[in-house]
Amino acid sequence: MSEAELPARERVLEVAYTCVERSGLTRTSVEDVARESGVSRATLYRWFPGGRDELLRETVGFEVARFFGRLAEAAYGAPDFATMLEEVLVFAHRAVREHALLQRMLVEEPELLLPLLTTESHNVRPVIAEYLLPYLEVEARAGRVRTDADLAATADYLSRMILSLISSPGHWDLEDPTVVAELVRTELLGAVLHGG
Amino acid sequence: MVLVSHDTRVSPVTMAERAVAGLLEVVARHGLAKTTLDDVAAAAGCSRATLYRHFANKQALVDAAVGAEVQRFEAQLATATADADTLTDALTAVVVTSARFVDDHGALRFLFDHEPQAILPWLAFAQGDAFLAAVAPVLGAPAERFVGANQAVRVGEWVARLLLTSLTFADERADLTDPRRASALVAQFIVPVLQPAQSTPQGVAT
Repeated sequence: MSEAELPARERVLEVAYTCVERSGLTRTSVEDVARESGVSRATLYRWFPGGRDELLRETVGFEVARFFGRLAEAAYGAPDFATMLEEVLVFAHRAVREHALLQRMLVEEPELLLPLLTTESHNVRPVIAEYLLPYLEVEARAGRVRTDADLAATADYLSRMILSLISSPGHWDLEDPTVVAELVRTELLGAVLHGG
Repeated sequence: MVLVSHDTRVSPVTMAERAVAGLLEVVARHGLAKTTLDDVAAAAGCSRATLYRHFANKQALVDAAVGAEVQRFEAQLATATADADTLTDALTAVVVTSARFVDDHGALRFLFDHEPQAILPWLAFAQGDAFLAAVAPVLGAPAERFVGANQAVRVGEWVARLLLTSLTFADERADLTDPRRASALVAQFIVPVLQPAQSTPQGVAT
């Protein structure tokens, strides 16, 4: 795909997203997206050689990327790593709860949606780990890291736990700032950073 | 795989065991959606009528299989952790035993690899909370003699998250069947949290 086609491809994903909003994953077809985006079926199949499955996977991936973009924005400027993680968890928890389409898909089409969010989402977790790593490096330079694990392994571990908590908070009440502070400062970072 | 009794008399218990073994065998080959009670009857070596006498429908058989496999898993967990001398050893054994249980489990493997839609809805979002609540006490039980009952459930939930994300976000870092990797994760990220520096400074790795 040429450089010039990228914005057009992104616009197609936005159109596909509105189709999914209206009709659900099952009933969104390549034809619908072609008609509403004004891009020919032939072009869509060239951009998404896997057809409908690939188009839907990319559409979900597009919204997931937007979601984590908003998450990164919400956490931008936090004074330290722990505060940043608190803001991430609070924001993500609220965003998941208030994401109307996500909540509807979880009820109506979980079997189609969940693989796209987990086993088939090949870069979500590594992207989060990459996002966390510079924060850990700052903490390490300040002498606040206590774990003997390397920072990449630490970022990897934290990315798993954060994704798990965003999906299923378990017994943690992520609407209570005191609970979130305890979760982050003891359970998540207690083994990683000195002090609390 | 559940062993089929060598006893040739078919008591109700062994019939149920044979049916569960048959179901697991068929699911490991074809997945859950395509499996019918006819397939299971063939695999279990019994008639369709006999199978239907024990299980009203496929869901009833699946429920029985889940119950039987949970019991088998708990027994493996108890054996694997019985001799652990330290919290790190106990939790490492929990992680490795759990990861290997799934890895060796033909039916679960098939579902994760080829039919994730049949299993993920039970593990994520709202259902994920219910799943964590159910497995946390089981996975935490071997830690109880080291940290007490309350912390054991807490650590059980943490171990469950580690295992779940290794299945749902599988990559080269996620292989928890490797005792060295599992032990490092447990020692570096889980055990220190249970032994906070302020109360037992001698227990803190530096």
